[in-house]
Amino acid sequence: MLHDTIAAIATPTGGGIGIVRISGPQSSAILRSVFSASKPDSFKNPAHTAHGTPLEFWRKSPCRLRRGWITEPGTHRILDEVLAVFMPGPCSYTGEDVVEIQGHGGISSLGSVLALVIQMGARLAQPGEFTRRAFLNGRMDLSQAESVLELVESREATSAAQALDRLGGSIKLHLGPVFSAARDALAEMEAFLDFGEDVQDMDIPRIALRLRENVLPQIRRLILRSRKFALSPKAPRIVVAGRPNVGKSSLVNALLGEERCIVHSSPGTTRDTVRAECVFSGAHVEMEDTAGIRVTEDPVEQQGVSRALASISRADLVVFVYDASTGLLPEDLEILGQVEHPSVVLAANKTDLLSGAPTPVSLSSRPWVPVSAKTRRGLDALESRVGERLKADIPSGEEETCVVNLRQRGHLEAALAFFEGAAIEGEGEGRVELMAEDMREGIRELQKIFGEGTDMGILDAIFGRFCIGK
Amino acid sequence: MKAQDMAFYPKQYDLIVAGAGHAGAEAALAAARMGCSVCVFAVNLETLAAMPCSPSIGGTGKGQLVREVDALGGAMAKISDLTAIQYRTLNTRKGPAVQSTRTQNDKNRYHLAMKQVMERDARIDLKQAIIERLLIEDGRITGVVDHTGYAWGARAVVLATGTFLSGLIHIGHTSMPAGRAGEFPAYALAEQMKALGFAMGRMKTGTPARLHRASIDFSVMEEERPDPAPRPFSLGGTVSPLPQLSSHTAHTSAKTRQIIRENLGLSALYGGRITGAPARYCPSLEDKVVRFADKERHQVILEPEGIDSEEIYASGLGNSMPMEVQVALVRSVPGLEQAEIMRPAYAIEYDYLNPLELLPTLMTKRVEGLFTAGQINGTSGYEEAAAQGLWAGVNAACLVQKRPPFILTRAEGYMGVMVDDLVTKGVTEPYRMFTSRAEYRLLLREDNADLRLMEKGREYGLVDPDLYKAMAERKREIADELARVNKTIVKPGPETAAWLQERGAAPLEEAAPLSRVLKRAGVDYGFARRFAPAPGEISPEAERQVEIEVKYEGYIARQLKEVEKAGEMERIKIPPGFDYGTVPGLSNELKAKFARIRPVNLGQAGRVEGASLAALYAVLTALRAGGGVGKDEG
Repeated sequence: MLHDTIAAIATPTGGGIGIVRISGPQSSAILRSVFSASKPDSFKNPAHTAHGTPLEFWRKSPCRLRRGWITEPGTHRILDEVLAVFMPGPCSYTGEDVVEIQGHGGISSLGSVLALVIQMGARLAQPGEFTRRAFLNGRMDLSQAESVLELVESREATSAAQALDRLGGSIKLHLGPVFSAARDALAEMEAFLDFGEDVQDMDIPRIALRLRENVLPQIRRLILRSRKFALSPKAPRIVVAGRPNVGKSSLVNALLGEERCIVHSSPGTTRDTVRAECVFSGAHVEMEDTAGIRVTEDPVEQQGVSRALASISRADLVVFVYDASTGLLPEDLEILGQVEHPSVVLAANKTDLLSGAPTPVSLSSRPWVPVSAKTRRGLDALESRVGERLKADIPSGEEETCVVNLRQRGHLEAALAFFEGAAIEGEGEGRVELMAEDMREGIRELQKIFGEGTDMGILDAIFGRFCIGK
Repeated sequence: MKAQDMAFYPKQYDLIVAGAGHAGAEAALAAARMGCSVCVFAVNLETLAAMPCSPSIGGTGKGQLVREVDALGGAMAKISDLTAIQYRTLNTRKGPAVQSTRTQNDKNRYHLAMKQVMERDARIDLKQAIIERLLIEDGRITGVVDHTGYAWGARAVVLATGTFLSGLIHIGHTSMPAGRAGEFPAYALAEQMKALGFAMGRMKTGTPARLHRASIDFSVMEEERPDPAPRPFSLGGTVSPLPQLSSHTAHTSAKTRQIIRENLGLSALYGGRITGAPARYCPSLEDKVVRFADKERHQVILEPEGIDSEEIYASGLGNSMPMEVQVALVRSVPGLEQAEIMRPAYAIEYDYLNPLELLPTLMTKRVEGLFTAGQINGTSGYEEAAAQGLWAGVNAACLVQKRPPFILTRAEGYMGVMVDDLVTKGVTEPYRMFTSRAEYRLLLREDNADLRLMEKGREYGLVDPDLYKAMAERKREIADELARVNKTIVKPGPETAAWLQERGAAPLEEAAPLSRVLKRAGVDYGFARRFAPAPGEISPEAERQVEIEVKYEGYIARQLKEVEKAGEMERIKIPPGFDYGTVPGLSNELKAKFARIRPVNLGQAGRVEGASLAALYAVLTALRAGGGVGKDEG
């Protein structure tokens, strides 16, 4: 049977909510350690007794959703407010004990829930592994299997393509030399083990040193970069700004496709900035609606204005909205001057009120898009101009581009531990067969990042480099 | 000629083995142990179990195979012990997982000892004849026909033809059909196999010159002395009674390199007269000089061929040059200036059967009851041959006796690794065993072959009951001792500190289990014997096993976990007639590959080149749809 417990984010990135799925014998133990049904502020005095402990609840009513909080054991830091469900095997999706935690879809919160689950003993699932378990445990019939497979495969394909596109192959660029260095080191070890008579001298500490120089720091750097990224998620932030009453909120709502912001026709209704996460032009972004900016004596409104300006200063991109029916007014230009942001897209809203075509505005090469929040005309154009602008703004320095995702990071961390083990053995007792064992495992982990097979081509590497045979 | 018109030998055999080399001998002996009547054909009975190349058995990766054959009741290790003239343990400075036994053997005595064992086996008949044709009825083997047209009936046939199928020897511009130097080749059988549609290929191997001992100046060479305290190769055996001899190491010179370069065009290999695939790990001297041009000298090891023989095997000098070049290049090696060549080096090409034609039992997919073993399957080496011979012989017996097939997994033995590699990946050069081919190298050690395999060997009636009993006893002893060292607590004190310090280890800081102390670098079983001895006596074998288990502990546990994980896929069987053509989502290339290789389970399918996870899902889905998935048995 399968002894380890796996976990992964089971939903595509960018949704409003997301699910962390856990499967395996430790599922319930992990759930118990991270999930609290009591309110977080009363957590220090657990109030489980009201409805029994969470697990008692699910023992009585399995497969039922329960609201609660994911908190870090020890620190009691709250990671997310969630709905959780425990589905005991064998009647679950995989046939094993399964836990699903529905949390908020942001990369940060869902990612940190997953990271915690893994910290508590689960292993990051490989692509399609839940389905594989379901198959192996005989839980799927043909039609289910086929549909799930298509889903898994298509998702893998697109996400792989996306990842490649986004990173411009930089993982391969970064890991390629690491991979060859590791493989060369292993080839040397294998040659030493298998062809001791031909390859007599091997400087074991030197190989360990090579690992320390050419393999470990490179992997460590990638992991650190990814951790930094995960701790402060940089979903690009788009701030919508403009004078009061030019239709910013309606435009944001139209873009989001749902009535989420407060919309009102009298100036200054959106006093606070309103945020929403969404998938925008293929990327996961945070969209922020701001209070209208104008000179005002009202202290409350003034607060809103300064908050809006603060938001703009943190923004990755500003959509500056003005009223197409009035055209670009001196006040608009004044505010634009205050905005002082390098990335601004001009949106001429309310084009539905015009009888003819809006007059194009050319302001130091800032993209200009005529739209109507009311009729939704021009929204697609706006979305794509914003997308283009965001892509152009992604810094091109190689240090920033190669950020691995959580799955890849899991493999990198595992590989790092194995290579580190090999280096330590090399500096210590120097038992080459054990170093080789760690190298093999580490290389296997790296191959999983590339999605490559298990054939290491080690023999080819050996015969290419050493004169073997008496 | 039809079968009913032919003259048949009156006795009908369970098994016929064509070829009496290391594969043929083990095949016959294993089937006989299982109660089969066996007839073995040799082209020449004087060269039964011959050592046509290096007069040695074992070596890295190979020693493990010999021990596995031994644990399954095979003869190789025993014959090796009877005839060894030098024992060495390779890789002694490396860990137990990669240590291997290697013996130099008196090659005539080896042949005679194996011949005697086979002659004295009441179930085996030895015959001198060349097998020219297979008799097949309705896709099943029924017997063979020899070169005189006489027919021999059997229910199963193992072909262990070595280099004899369409064998062609090359020495410079001269080439001659031969099975080995001085022996008839087998051309007709190869032609029939091709006509039957078998995918055959061509490989090349070779052997160096034999020199006269008296013509060699050993004084300028490095002496390689035999192990003064050798351990027997065979389990429960004794070491060789023969005198133990040294080998000598010499090196080629700049002149050797020059001679090769100047005469490259005369080499059969480089002159384009050889089409067979050579092995990269066993390059000829021409190859070494060309491919590693900057290497100034290459090792030559001079090994005695036997007690009564003056012939010396010149390992490292293999080539396919004409005689005049051979004489010059041998004499360009310091110490060999006066060397007399008794037998020239030669290259030989021969036909092999693409092992993708085989099931994991080593039975061909085309003809039921026809098995192949050894070099015919594209492998090289006596040990690889012996292991396949045993495997094919046992499975032939299983077929005849309607027993379940005998399969070892990659986690159970090097034999399992080799056969799985052959039937799943095929070969592009002569296949030799390396420890790097085994993913569970730390588990598959020479020292635990008996513990790993004897139980299975006993199930098939391959193992001597007394040896089995001794092994079971040892297994218990090891388990008890392992439990003891885990729970025995050692306290720090001046005595242990002194002992540890002597061996460069730090003194104990607190009381610790004995196993944790044994795990430390530099600490061997002497510590346990001195400070926490077992109540009873512990055999050296058990001590060694416990020490290895303790020292490798974390790694062994990790590998066992991997084995378990891999086992999930191995347990999902694919029925023999499974139709890949109707599996949606499989590429045509993979469909063709699967259909040809016919993996027996999902694990094997996953090792087929190019098989992706998605492809395996697709196969699994189709399997479940068909309802024909056996998950539990075997």
